[in-house]
Amino acid sequence: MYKGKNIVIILFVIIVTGGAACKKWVDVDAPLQVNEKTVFNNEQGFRDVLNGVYLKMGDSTLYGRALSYGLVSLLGRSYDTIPATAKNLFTQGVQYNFQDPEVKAVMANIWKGMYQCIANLNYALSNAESKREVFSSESSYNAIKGEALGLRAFLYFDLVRLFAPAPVVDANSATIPYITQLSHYGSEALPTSAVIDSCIDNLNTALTLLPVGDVTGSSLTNYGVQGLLARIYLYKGDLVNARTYAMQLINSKAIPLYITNPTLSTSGDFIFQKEQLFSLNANQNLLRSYLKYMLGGTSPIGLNPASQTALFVTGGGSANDWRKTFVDSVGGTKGSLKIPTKLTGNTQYYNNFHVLPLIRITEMYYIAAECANTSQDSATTIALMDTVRRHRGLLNYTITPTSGVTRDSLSKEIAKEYQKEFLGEGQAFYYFKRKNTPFNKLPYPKLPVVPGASYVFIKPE
Amino acid sequence: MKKTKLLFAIGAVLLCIGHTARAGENHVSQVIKRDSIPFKNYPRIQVYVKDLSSDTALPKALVMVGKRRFYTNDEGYVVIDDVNKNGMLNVSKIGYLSQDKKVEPTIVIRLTKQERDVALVDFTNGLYQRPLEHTAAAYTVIDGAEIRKVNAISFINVLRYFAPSFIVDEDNNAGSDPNTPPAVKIRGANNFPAKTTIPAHPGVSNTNVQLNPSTGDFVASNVYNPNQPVVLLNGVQVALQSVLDLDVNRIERIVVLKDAAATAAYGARGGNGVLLIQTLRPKPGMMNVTYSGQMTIASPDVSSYHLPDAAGKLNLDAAAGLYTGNDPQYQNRLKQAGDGVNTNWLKVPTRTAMGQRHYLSLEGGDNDIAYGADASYNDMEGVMKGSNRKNINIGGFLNVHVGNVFLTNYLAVTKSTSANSPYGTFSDYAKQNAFWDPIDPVTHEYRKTLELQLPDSFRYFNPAWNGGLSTTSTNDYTRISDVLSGIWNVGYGFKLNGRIGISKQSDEVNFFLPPSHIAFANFSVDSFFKRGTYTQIASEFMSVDGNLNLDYTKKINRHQFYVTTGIMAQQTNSQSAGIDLAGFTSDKLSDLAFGNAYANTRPAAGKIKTRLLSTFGNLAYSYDDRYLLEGTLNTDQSSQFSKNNQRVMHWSAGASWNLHRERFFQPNAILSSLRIYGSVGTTGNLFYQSYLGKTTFNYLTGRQYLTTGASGGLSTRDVGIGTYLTGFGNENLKAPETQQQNAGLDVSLLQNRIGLTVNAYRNTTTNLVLPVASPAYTGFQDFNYYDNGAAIENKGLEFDLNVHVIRDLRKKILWSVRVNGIHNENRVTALNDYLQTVTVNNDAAAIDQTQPQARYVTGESLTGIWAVQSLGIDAATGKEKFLKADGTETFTWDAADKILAGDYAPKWQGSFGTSVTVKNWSADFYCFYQYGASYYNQTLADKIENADLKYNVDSRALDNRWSQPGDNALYKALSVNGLKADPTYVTTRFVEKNNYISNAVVAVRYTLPKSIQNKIRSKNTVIGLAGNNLFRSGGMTAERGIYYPFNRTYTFSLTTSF
Repeated sequence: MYKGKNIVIILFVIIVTGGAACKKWVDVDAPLQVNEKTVFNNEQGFRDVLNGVYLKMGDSTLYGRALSYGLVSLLGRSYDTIPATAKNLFTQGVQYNFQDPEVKAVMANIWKGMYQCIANLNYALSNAESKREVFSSESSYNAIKGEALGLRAFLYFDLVRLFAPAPVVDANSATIPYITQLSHYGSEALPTSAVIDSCIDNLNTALTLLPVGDVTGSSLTNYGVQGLLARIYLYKGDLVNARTYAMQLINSKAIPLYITNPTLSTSGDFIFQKEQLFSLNANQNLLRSYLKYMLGGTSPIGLNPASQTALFVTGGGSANDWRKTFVDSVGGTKGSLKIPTKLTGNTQYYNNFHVLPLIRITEMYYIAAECANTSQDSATTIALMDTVRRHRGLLNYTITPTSGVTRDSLSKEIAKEYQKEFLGEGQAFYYFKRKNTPFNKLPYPKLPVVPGASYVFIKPE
Repeated sequence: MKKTKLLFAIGAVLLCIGHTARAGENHVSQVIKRDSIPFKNYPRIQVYVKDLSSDTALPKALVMVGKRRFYTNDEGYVVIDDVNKNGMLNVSKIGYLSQDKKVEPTIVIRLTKQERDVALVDFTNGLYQRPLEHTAAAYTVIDGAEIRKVNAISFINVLRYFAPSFIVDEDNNAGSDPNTPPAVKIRGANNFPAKTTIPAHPGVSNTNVQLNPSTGDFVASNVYNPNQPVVLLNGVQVALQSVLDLDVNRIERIVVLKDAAATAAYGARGGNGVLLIQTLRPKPGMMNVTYSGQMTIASPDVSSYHLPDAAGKLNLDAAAGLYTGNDPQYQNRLKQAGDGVNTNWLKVPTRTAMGQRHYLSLEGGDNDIAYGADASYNDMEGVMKGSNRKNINIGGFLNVHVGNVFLTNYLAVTKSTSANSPYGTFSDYAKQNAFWDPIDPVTHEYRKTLELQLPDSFRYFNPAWNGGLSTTSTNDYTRISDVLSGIWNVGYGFKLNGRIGISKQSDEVNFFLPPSHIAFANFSVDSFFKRGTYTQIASEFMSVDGNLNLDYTKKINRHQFYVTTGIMAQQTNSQSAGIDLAGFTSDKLSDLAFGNAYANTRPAAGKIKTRLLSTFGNLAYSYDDRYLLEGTLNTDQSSQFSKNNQRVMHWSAGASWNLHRERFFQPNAILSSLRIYGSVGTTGNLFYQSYLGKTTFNYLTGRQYLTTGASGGLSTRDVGIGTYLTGFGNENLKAPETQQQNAGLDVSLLQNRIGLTVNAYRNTTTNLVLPVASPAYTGFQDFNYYDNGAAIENKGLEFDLNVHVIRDLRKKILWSVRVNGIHNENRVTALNDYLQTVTVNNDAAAIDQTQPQARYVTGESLTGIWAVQSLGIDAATGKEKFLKADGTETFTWDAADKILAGDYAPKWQGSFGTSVTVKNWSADFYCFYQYGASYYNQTLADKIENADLKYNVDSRALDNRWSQPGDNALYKALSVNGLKADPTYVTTRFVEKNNYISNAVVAVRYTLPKSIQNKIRSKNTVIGLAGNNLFRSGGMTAERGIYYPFNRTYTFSLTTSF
């Protein structure tokens, strides 16, 4: 019986203390999800998060459509022919009717999607800080951190460009929340100027972290950050810094302009991929997506052949403008309302099917030109503009620096360049917004604009 | 087995002979003087007999030395003179296993108690047992035999007759569908409904709760039904559906555990109460075969439907102006009605169903080995054509006793096949017009189109058409479970018991809509190959459950101690995968293989794994059977707990006082016994989703982010994969906790003729796990962050009064009456931001406001009916006049003006009934009642005021309508489509009282007299006839049984054993 008693005592001890040793046993991970520990246990995990963000940015709700050839291009007047029978989103979107439920939904999805990307970046950033030991080297840690910081600034800057009034209108009202830590709590909205300054801050940090010389445009590199800084400074109105960064990039010659028409080469770079500082490999068939979405309705929308001619040929242009193929349709019948060729690429070479340009080197020329023009430096302005023209199959401007009206006409030329160069990319919209262009002064006045229209996107409740 | 018996008998005889022989020797030796042969006999031996488990003395134990018989005294002690040194002692006592021992001068013999079940009145919570007078817990024990008397098919609906605190919510939509499990709860709802706490994200499947769970998945079942109690079958946790599919004959007893003292040992699982189901164990003895058979006739109860006939509906249509500009249609319909078409659509999909059930069991064996086997077949046929549920249960039992160890193993296999009616939902029939004929006059079969409406070519389809096709909706499962339990009487008051339970269930759901199903009738030609859908879901659930408990009991004079401590580990694995196919060319090709293509690109898959580790200790001390103090402590660790709260503690403390044991209490004819008890404590609540404390990611499976752009070479493999956040864990999340208080009183009067139990309770559940209303800019879009918040309080009173009016056992005349009830007050005591947004969202115009929407307001119940205060139909304009929140009158309905117009939950509910036994006849009559409940009369809203006259309406639709200024009408003016013309949103006008008495059972039983039973060599042969749900009085005037009608059942049963 004593044996029994001993066993009882042993069992009693096991029962009482048994629970203590089992913390591991009850810790169960979700079988159909990957635990954060597994994701961030090596360097690749951080790259995977960045990839996830790039892929999310490539969604049709973001740069995959709405912020490229979708809503933003409608607003930026890349299309002039929107029949009344076209999709409601197009007919209402082109009129700046932001109260329309469908337009509102597109804007809400932009808002949500951008912040979703930011949440992922924030979480990767805080984990990078706490798990520095998983990085193979200091430089790889720096590269990840710099890219994440830069990308977050890129997203915040586009959020502020979309959902806040342009700084020339109002820079000091609270507009959007600026979040740097993943949290479920709401936070106060910051003024546009504060958001922009934070972005600049982060980009400056990113500049010190990202290696110089990387010309891979499909992720945010040091060159991309410089380009973004130029863009932000210009938007903010800090022309000195804008010009500095733009010229720095132009002078570095790291990303040169094409010398021959790339659309004619065997590789057929219809979207001028090599001139891009930052682009998105959205990894989806843009052509199919475009066909389905833009041309899926009963009435296709697009840029009228007459308007194409007006934009590219008339008034100092040329039918030989390499970019005219941006809008020329596939299959020979040039000039019809079809798919912009820039999205289709060469049918033999599908490389750039899914490339979405985010920052082009040409924008740096325009930024520098605009800065020079503002400071009455017409010669520099014309020189910069002519450089681009020569690399687009055009002759130099016939405008002379001494002419009295140079400044205004150059301004118009720059605006027109934005329209041509960034057709279906959305940058033209930001140009109009930055300039607070009156709605009746937008191109194609035949397109109606609702009364009380605004450049400020509507945030979801 | 007969052979074994024979051997045993021979052995016994031989042993007896041996004993006799030896005794004879003794006899001889007695002649010789004691002193002369000191080595052969002990002059005197002392025998102490004790109980092995409690180590207490056993009085009146029989000690046999040869043929001499002695009994122990009150101290369990006996002195025997002159005993042969080589002799053997045999000690026995009723209820104990007898023991032989070699003679010694001083012998202590510890007898092992025969493992038998606890007496019905005693307390057991599945972990430990205490005598009734030595516990402070609030619980109800129900004998399986009592349940079978009342309903031989299903126990769940009659359980509340015995335990008023066990509440079964009547589901007005599901009616008497045999395949819809009822919603049950003990006392009150401690949680917000799952549809509130688990918001859906479009396009994202929730991976924190099992998708399409197996019906045996209790983890998922508890998340989706967060107010149901934990169900334990023989100590092992199962889903409610698993015990519903158990054969009623197998039930030995059901215990409803209600308060903290009863459930604190279950810790995090005890918050909603526990339903304990114990199945029968084989009884030792001669082989016994029991058969029980039932025949059930179920007929639909559509008495709540009031539908106009063909002529009446046509009148109504014409009066409303439905045929304005379309006289040909009117003439056509008139002609049809004139030709005698007056279809009773309620009869089309329904039937009088005949179900049957057979149960056969055999048992036998002895104290060492007892065995049992049972098989049952239960075919429950529903009143919708083709709807049924068939269960086959097979089980085998083995009880082995070796020394002080008792081992029990029960292996059970359940095969359940259930089918839903191919006719679809009942509401599709109730809405058809009586002037439509479902039968084609030429073919005498169902026609597909009831009417082709011109000029717009709108076609009215016949839902009965689907019934004639190969439409399939089935859910089948196989469940295998094994429970092995052992009890080891260690001695010195210690007892060790352990259990391992393993169960595995595989389910398969098949849902096929053939291509000619009316759901595809309007598909255009280009969608021809998309017609016909097939959904197949395969799911599996496995649970492993083990526990080890140690009991210690010690009695020192008047002090009685009980200590139990135990550890339990549980693991569950759940998974499912479902596929959808579309495109079937023929109705005959009703197999998955014939589908044209997948309707979705990926299968809908889910996987959940949980683990729970629980330890507890309970200490009870009773003094002189009068006072009792007890305390329980539990610590739990669960996979659902978060990082910073990995261990949760729960406790309870209770006391009871048996006043009738007091010296001042004189035994008298009026008061027989009086007991008061009470407890406080906390229990937890695991009825929320898993993994909420985990930050999780998922990988994008269809896309890669490549720097080079295109697919590139092999070197680009795996470098571009992308991941994204799918959940941000709350590492501080706590499990909800229910603070429970209970005070009870048991009194019996007039020699136990009147028994009354009254309990008052108050349960407050805090720290409920709720989503946080995160703004979109937090990036939390396709998932929610969960945090603790809000609180719900339930307080109430329950009573159960049982009166034996006549109790003449000699003449076998018994008459008893029972009344019981529960009053529960449920209220939300705190809210969080998310719940406030739910209320706001539920008031939005996009939400269907023609029916009441839930509102969560501090101080009000979860089940309130919120409607705008109506001032009736304005006689001048015919518009409904409302009272605004600010006291002004208006014609505009505004959700912001909603007031609390009533409550679905009754103030009092319970049952009453009587049972009479005269000789071999007995009769039972039980009813349920509820008082103080309200209901929103959806029939008045949907089928009168919001009615679309294209379809049928309520027959009251023509009366009391406003038609001209000055009319004092009950309802708004008649219109062709009320919902379009002037929709009636939730109004207090349609909130009705829902107080009713509904019949539960009328039953008569006849037990064959002994003389006849002996002739046919049977025992306990009982023939019975029972009717369930025969009538209902009072209540709302709305239609009952919307998607599936309610039914009345008549059961003939025969039970016998031989």
